[in-house]
Amino acid sequence: MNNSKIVLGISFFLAGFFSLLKYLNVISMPDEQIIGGAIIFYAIPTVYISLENGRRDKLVWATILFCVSVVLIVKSYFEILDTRGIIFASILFVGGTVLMLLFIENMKEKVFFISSLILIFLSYLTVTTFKNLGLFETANKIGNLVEAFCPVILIVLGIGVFINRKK
Amino acid sequence: MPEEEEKNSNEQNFFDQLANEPSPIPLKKLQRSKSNVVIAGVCSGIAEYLKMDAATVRIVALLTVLLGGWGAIVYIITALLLPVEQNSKQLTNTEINSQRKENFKTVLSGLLILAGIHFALVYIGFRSGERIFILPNEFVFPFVSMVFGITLLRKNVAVFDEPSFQNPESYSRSRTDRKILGVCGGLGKYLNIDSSALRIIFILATLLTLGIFSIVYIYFTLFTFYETEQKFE
Repeated sequence: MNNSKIVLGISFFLAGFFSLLKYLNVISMPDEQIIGGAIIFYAIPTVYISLENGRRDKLVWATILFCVSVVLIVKSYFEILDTRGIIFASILFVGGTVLMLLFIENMKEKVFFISSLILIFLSYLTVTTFKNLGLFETANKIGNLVEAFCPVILIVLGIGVFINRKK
Repeated sequence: MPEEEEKNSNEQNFFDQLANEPSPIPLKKLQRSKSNVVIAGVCSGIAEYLKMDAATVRIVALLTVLLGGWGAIVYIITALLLPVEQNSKQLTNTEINSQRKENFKTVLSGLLILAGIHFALVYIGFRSGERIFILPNEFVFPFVSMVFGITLLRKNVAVFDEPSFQNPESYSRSRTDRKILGVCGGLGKYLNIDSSALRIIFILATLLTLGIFSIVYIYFTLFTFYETEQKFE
């Protein structure tokens, strides 16, 4: 299989199929696990194909999706009290992972490797040392603001993409 | 009698001539487009008929989802009833690629606006978050997902991913596409991703991590150079 679109098609089909089974009460799985599993099914082969074909754009999106799906699955298995707190560390970790994969794709670029190490180390610090400094509370307040303004952000983004569609 | 026959044959010739003569004003015909298709070419066909931009018609069609999903049913019926255009425009590969990109951005922008309006209406209390269509979300989304998956599979079974030969070998900050120091512009060029999308991601990540994510920006600024200037004679 050498086409990420085929993998995407199968992932969508699997996600829909299992969700439908859940709706019909044939299986009992949380939505996070179904969506997370489908995304992992898409992300792993896509990363492989992108590394082979040199498609850096797909590599970045597939890596981000993979990390997000891992967060979704972990969240469904374990009860995480501070769900906003994991966003703080996840952003740093996902950023670090993307840069690490970009380094793997082009080993001449040391800048990606060092910046990825910095981000991954910072993500580790946020869940250990920084947590006690009350950083998460402030981040949660900003998260609440972003959530409240989410519709406006989405509409503005949509209009922006629409205006720049011919670029 | 021969005079009458001659008169009849003359009339027949006249009508035949009239039917074969090309009309000075081309007759507009509502039909599905064959050259500019996202799902079935209905929106593009309507846009051609009304002499409008296809993107605008697509956005309006997407926004009809807010009216309870009836727009989707109307779309399916229209797609079944309308004929496909016979003489479609012949497009070059470059034109096809740019059209695909434009269509993707149009659909993406439509979905973003649709989601934004939906969440705003839910937030105000005008809409329930559990139903977007007339049927419950738990049934509609899996069904749409399966149909979309099958469509993708049918379209791409015999197509292989083409390797990218246009990748820049090394990363450098952009001189032309920059807002502050050209980091996102350079990254956009290196990754072949829209630089404005990268800027939005950077801003959101920086905000949500209380500025910690900006360390990457500073690091890239300090340890990478601007792209070499092109000299034109």
